[in-house]
Amino acid sequence: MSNHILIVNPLNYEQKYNLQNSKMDKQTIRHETTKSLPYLQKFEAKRKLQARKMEKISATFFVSTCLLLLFQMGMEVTGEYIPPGPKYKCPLPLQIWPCRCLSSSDEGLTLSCHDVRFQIQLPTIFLIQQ
Amino acid sequence: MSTAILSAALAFPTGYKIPVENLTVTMLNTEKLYGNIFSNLNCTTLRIENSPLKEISSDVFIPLKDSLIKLEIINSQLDEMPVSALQELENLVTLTIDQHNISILDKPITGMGNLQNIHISNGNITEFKKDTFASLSKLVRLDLHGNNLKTIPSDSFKVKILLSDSKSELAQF
Repeated sequence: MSNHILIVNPLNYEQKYNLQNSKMDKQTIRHETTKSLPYLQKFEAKRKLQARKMEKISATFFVSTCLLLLFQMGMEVTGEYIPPGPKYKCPLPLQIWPCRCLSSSDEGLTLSCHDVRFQIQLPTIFLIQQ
Repeated sequence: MSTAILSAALAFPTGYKIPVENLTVTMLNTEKLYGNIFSNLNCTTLRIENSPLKEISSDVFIPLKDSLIKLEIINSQLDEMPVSALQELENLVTLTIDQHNISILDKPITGMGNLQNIHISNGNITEFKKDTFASLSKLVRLDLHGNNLKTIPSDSFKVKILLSDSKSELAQF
């Protein structure tokens, strides 16, 4: 009888041994089992340790993948470039003369037009518009 | 300020479609406001002050009918309520006409379906008719302080008009 059989399938050791060597009595079987027990325990512990490691690696990989997917989805939804400063900025003073731009914001401009002379001819107006 | 010059000044926000949140015009040097000075302007609040305005043409505010929410005319020479000009402003919520020469509110104030606050104060209003404010179904606040009102016509404010702050202001008639 070889130890190899005992290690590979320790739970069915007795049954397998009987199939392979029916001449060996039960006492011998017990003796062999007792002799190989430390190896079995060591093997079982090692196997459990490896299983735990694999579980940890799988879990870490799963979580990382989920986080990566969520991050990518988030980037797709909210990712946009917002330029600094207000959305609508004050134009050059000459462009809105005789008004003045007091402030600018994302909602619009605040303009003030104060005490401007009138009777300006239309061609002048079109020139300013351009 | 002339209406022509004002139109020129607003050309930039108009041409580039930049909205104007607040537009204040002081010392507008004309008695009649007319023409397309606000053409294509996207303006939320308009304040005209210290101007000898007597008349406002009915088509002046048409370009602002979708954008204007607040209109203030302060210290003008208006001698009657510019009803025809104002009725186009469907989104107007607050109307203020302060320091004016209006003596009677005899025409019904129509249009302005979203008007909630109306201030016609510090003038010479002696009376208004029972249907003057009748069509303003969303009116919440009516401020007529600083006028010469003596009486209020019966049935002026039917059940649909809720004057939330009427007591304190009516006391100042």
